Amino acid sequence: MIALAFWVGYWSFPLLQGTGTFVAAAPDNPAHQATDSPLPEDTPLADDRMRAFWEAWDILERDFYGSKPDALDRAYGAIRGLTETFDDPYTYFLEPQPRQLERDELRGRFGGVGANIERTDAGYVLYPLVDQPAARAGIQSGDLLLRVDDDPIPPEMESDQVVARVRGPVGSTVTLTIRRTGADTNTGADSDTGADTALAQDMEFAIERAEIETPSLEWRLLEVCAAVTDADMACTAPGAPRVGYIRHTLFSERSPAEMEVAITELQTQGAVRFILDLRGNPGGLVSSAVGVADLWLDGGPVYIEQRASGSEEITHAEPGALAESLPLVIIVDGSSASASEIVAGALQDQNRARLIGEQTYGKGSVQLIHELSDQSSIHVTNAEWFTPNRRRISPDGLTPDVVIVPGSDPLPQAVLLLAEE
Amino acid sequence: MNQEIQSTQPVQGWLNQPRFLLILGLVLMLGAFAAGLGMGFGAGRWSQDTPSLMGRPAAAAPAAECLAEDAEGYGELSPHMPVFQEAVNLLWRDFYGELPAPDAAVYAAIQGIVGTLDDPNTSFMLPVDADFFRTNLEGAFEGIGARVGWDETEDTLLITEPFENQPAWLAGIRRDDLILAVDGESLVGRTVSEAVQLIRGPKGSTVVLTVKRIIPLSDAATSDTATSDTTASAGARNDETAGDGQFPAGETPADDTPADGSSASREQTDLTHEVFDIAVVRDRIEIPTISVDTLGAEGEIAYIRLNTFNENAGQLVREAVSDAATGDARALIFDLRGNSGGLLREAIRVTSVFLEDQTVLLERFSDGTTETYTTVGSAVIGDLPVVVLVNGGSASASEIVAGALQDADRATLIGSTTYGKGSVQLPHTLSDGSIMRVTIARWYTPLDRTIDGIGLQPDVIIERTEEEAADPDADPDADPALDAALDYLGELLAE
Repeated sequence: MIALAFWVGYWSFPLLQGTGTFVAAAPDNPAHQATDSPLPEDTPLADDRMRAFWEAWDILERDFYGSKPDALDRAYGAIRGLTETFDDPYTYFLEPQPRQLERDELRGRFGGVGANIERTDAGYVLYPLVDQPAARAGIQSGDLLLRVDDDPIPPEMESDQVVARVRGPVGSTVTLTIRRTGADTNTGADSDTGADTALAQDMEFAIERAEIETPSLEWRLLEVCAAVTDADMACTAPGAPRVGYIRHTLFSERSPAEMEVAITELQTQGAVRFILDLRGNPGGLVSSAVGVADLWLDGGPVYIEQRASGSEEITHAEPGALAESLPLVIIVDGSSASASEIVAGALQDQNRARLIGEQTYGKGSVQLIHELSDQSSIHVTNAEWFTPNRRRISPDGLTPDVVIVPGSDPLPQAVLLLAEE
Repeated sequence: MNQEIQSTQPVQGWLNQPRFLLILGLVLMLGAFAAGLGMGFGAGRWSQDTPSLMGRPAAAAPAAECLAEDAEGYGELSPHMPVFQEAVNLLWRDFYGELPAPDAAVYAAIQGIVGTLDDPNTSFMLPVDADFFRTNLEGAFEGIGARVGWDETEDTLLITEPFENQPAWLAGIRRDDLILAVDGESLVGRTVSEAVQLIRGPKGSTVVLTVKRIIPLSDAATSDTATSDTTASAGARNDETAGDGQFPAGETPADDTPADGSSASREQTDLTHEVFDIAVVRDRIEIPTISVDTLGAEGEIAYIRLNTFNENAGQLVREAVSDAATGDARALIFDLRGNSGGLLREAIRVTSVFLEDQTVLLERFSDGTTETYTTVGSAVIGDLPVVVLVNGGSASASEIVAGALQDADRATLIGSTTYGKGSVQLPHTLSDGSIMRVTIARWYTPLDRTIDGIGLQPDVIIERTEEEAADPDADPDADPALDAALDYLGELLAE
């Protein structure tokens, strides 16, 4: 889980709560947006069709007995209803705050204080990260978050809402009011608010937000020699060739650059063979998938995309690459989806790497993420993609070259497989 | 994320509200035109078009007026509509796959708005459903005469009440039968309104219903005496004919025990359900608004059951109670169980049979105004003691009557907690024939008790426990609430 302990709490929530958010995380293709055709002049839903909609809106506005959500929320309801009719789980609407968090995730960085949060019965508890603004300002692990600026943070508030309040532009200041429980406080313990709070103390911290990066991968050297075929044999000899292990958890904007750093660093430490672990990686940006695949491929097709218009486009890797000839095995599982499947499928079809693990998720559609004028966003399935050998990904996914028993550790086998390369 | 969104979006609007359906069990016949909770009093206002009588506030303009407004009338909306318009444009420009029909998309958008209101009674009806709704309002139509609901587990149509001596009943359809198919067309995964449209048809025509009936194991094992009784229904079984057997109304087995007549059950003792076809000849359905009986050892207790608050309800109850009060009756049981409501006007008239110069209900509107409704005319009950029987199916108008009588201490309520439908919907017909039903008011009993979402608590609670309900040996004709009412009145009269 350390690998997933991203720099701000929001990240941890979907994972810890096991929501489907990540499985549904959709790749975005900024290239498409750059070539967007203008929006149609004529509304696809002609005025006469919309007439009933306006009538319904007006009637509710005028007659409804009870408290109504505000007009914007009702408009969001209408959009959600609209997207439902497309009958596609990847075409959906996100309100501004979830969209902000999604954008932060895919960018791999945001303005924040550098603390994880955890929801408890008492409220949200802070866990500052080492050497980040929150920790430097004096926030301690276990501090209970009471207010962000002037907004109270009750336990029932959604984590999205809490995170959205803490985050903001880099350089701006946010004031966190916390309650610290414990006898070891050494500042102004003159609380007279009663027995229950005798050991609790409320404190305010003004923290300047800094750019917080959320790495999308981590890497290390494995404790085995790359040259031996006995996976149990420890690699003790200094200078012996080693296996570099890269765990990649999301295809963010930063992923290709991070991957480049990881490969270079691991090579410096002696790695000559590599394992790329895409287990649990739900995908992310298509452009990032291409960037990552490109590092391992000496040209050739990465994926083939079919658009709604019927047009087809083949995306190629650039000739020559940092790691084009390094032996590689890719580990996948049933949660490796979307952009993960692009990378795994491209390298498998080009015979560049063998896959080991379990059948992948099987999400072969591409979404455009459009931000609307109020910062909400709509994901629209825009294309289907195929592997270079024109294998269809949805809904069956990729079959690994070596299928392991579900739940078993694929790493030792991956090392053995790598030794054959 | 996506699941969350889906869960807040009823795909089909009002007909898919399970609670709504189960309780008010829409209907294959006129009597239930009230479709109870659903239509409620708003329907009355709408169909009667008598706003002053119904006390509709000036703010609630007739539907026709709001239709006259054009887009310029929606100034308050416009600041937000760019967002909606952008979404529409992007979806239609970029989507890979089959585009939804524009009508369906617009309706889904409307339902999306309705979904944000968090009010199960405010709903939107597609034109096809709205047609059905209007047909019901208009009165008699042809069908099989059964109240239906939707079984969520089997995802198909459920017979909640076949009306006695109506075609479905006569053909052997019984309560809790699941209807899997109509004329061979599967109902699984469809909606009540679709199912009902398939079942309805011209008088004299035949519809074949594929019935799934659960059989208690003990019954299945002991039903070997059934053969001679059930030749008629056996003729319609799947396994013996093509399922198109003529089985006209009237040739029904005399024995109505559900498990009887299963020849298959004798061959397979582990059988827990059977599936068979029943052919029903459609007829013009006229459900009696009211039924009258005399109970008690010496017929001293008058029994009046009101099935719905339709246009004649007030007058019929008045006549029946008047007959009882001037006859030999010494007490009255007024049965509102399963009565899902109807017209507000009739609720007031029915209450006025029992009360005089008293408040019937308070109605509060979205603009803050309150309307107080009082009884009309003179009561005819005299001083007969009254028990009102209620249950979870007593809703809307039934709750107004029961609540008024309870608050005035004029009747003892016996049974189980009522449904809790204390809000008023106004159905607006939109320009394309769809209907938007909007909650515009809530009502309260004369003592200002809330009905909506709570229901009325009977003075004497008689509820079947789960064990009793599940007991296959229990007498299906047992009516503990009625027994309690008879006991209660018997003791009262003995004093």
